[in-house]
Amino acid sequence: MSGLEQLDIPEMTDVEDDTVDIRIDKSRVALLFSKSKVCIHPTTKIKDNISGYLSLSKTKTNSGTPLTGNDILLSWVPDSFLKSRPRDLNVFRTAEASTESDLKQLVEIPDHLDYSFSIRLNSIYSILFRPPKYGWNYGSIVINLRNSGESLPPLFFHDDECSSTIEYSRRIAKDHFDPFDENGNIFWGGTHLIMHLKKYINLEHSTHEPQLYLVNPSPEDTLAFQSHDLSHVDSPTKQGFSDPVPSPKKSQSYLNPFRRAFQDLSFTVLERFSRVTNYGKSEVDKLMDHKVTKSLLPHFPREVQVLFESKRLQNLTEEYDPARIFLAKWAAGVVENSDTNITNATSDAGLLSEQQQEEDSSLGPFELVYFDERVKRGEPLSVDQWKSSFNSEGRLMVNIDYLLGIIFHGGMVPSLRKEVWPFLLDIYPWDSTEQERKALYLSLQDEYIRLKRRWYDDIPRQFNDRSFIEQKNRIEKDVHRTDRQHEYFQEEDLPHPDPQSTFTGTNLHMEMMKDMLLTYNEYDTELGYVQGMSDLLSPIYVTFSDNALAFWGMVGMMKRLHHNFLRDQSGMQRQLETLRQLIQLMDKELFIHLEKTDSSNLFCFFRMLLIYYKREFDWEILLKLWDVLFTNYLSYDYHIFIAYAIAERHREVLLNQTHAFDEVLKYFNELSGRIALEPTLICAVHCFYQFKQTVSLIDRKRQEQNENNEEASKSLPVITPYLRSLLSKKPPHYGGTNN
Amino acid sequence: MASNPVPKNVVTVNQKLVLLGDSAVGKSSLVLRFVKDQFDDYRESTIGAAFLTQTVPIDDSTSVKLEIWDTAGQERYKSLAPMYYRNANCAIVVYDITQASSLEKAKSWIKELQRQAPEGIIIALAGNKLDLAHERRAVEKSDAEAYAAEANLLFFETSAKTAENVNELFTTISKKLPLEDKLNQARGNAPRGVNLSESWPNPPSGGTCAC
Repeated sequence: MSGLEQLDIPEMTDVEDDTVDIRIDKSRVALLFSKSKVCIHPTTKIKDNISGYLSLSKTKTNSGTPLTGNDILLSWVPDSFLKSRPRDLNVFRTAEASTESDLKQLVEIPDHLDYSFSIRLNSIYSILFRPPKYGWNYGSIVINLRNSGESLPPLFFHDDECSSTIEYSRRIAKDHFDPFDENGNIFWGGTHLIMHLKKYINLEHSTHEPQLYLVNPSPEDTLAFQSHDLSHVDSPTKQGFSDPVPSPKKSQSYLNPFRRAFQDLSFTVLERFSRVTNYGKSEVDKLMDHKVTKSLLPHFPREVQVLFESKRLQNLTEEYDPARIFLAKWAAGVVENSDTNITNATSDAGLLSEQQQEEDSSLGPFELVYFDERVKRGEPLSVDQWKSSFNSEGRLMVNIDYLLGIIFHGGMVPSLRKEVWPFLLDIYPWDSTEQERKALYLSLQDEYIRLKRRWYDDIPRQFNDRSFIEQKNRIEKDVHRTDRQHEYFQEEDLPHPDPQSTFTGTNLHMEMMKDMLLTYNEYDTELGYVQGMSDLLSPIYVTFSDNALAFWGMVGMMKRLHHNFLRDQSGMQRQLETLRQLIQLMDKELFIHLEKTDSSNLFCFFRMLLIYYKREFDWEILLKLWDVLFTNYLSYDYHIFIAYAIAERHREVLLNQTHAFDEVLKYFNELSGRIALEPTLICAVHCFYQFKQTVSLIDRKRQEQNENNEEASKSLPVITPYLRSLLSKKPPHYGGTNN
Repeated sequence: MASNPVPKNVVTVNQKLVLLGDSAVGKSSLVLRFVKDQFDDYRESTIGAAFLTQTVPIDDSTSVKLEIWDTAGQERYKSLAPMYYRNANCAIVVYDITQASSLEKAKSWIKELQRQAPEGIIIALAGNKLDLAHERRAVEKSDAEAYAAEANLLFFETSAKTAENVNELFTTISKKLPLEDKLNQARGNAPRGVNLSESWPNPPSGGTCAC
């Protein structure tokens, strides 16, 4: 940022300048507030991030008058600077850890070093607070200066590593049992800063954009941000400019702020600029000079900002289109990058998470949710944890929900699946003893053999029953093309038992799969075998490596997914409709786009839902997802939230780059193997809680309106039975297809 | 999207093609061979639908960009098919020459198309797995050919594995498409994508559509 060069001009009395150099003892200040892990992200790469301390400090000594914005410095100092000053670092640390500031300890604030800055609060015009988005991007602030109109580079709050934020959130979670405040906002580093800023300055919300705070606004400023006043540029088409920033709508307040900041502001404004081409240069300049426009500028990616700075506004017609294309590509890049970024971030955070796990072992699962959902998932259930959950009889002695919570948040170590999945797939009851399970296993084994022999020993049927033969052929063909890259199914070391078959070779595992699927075909008289089932069985079979367990595991799986395979597709239709309603409620803009592109039937999610994401993830990753889905921890239909999370994580690309049903379908089909699971899971938890909160808010509002006999209740969104069933941990009823 | 480089003065017309047929007859393999010139012995079954595009040069001034919808074959998913053939300009119905029953399935698809699909849809019948003809042919070429002639279909025997007749199949059907109206329009704006009904999976009541 070029503006940084101008910072730190030593003239405290010169009100024309944004920066100050006035410090107690010339170069040392007393810290009032300090926050670690506040970072500058000069590029999108994690390795380039510069971590530092954000602080508020006092410039005035020994005075009876209360401190004002003129006396307080907001500064940012990189860690690298403090490295060589262990004493100062210690002061920053102490200030962060304690609620009472020790004003005797002074620290040095550097002059321009990297991105460091130090400004008086009064020189700030506005601050844009962008809370974290669904756990993968950090919350950030952008400071706009009063006189120059410049913005400082965004500061990102790495809340997951910041001790004061972690400590404070922990306290909130303990007190309220809910990480969200009543407005659905989550506590983050920015909130912490606001709390402290408010002690010294008047921070006022812009009604245009709830994330924008004005610092000690003049009556004129307040007016400008409340009346949507751009009237002086607009006379030819008043409509085009009447609402430069969409006024916050109730339903939108649940959307993630990053997205809103980007979509609502950048795109709306760019779109309006596109209309600017009808006007003369002077009108354009007026628009550009308007305070609202200036306050939006920091939302734009760097390249677009340059475009605006370039003073080539008269060429905006030509520049607009490249800018639009650029933004679309940028959005796509964010999705891709964020996937890799979060992977790195997760592994980086691995150590921290281990420490936390120990520290927090006494905490309830809800607090774990709170930390996990924001930044990273929990640790997988370990063998020790699992073993120690059972008493000497082999009966579970911990709360089932506690155990399911661990699995939901962190999955399990792979070697445990063979033991845990039989519980999750309804083969073994949770309250059984070891001995009971052994007995149950034997009887299930007998039962499987009995079921298998029903067709296996029926030779006439095998040769004459046309429908049986047809199903057998279908299973043959499907097994021979299911997961052939997996080591279980790769080799063909046996000759095919039927010399007439089109297949010449086979192997033991493929033959076992065929037997199980044919037995299932006989067992489930309503559905029989349907294409897709081989995909569901193969991970279960490989995991259990036991025919009886695999067969009954398949039965358990099909209890879940039975309705997916109904001939009239009513089960699939119901789920896609539920997903449609979820998107309609939670993300209007995406919903409208899907409607515009003839995609609101959400058929693009058909494969994902039909076979439980089997084709979307690589083997090991799929098993991790199934760990989560099998728990029903938050919802029996949690897979719908996974779908919603996938849509949300790709919404920018969908909005900007897809124009028709075929493109949308192709886009989703091609995501196969490229969806990053961890951030998707984190996002899904957020989606779930956002949805849950939305529902309870709407319910409460509706109830209030009913109590007051208001008629307005019609304007509230309807929570359909489909949507409500998303909050249930029990299987929904599939009686009717109507909502 | 995969497409051949097209000289600037060539008009490209988008046309929608749908593949139908019993499961495991080789629908996806035909598309894979045509679009990417690849073959996979153990191509996984298609769940839902896949969408690919390929551009076919017709003459010096015209190309057809085929938007190919590859569908799931099993009868259980039959109720979804109208979504795909609803606005189709052409269809390839595939059977497996080593499975007599798959020709029966193909015939029932053709009947459905002739009843429900847009009027004037070009239909080709393709007997796939020609590479297995010597070992296990179960459907005589002459029988299928006679049926195709009677039902007014294009007919090819193909092998996705050896690539035999695959390009011919797609090229012939492209050349058969009535492009006159589209060509006139296309100088302006070629229609983007397909306009699918949201009312799936209920089959459309009539065969009329905007195409």
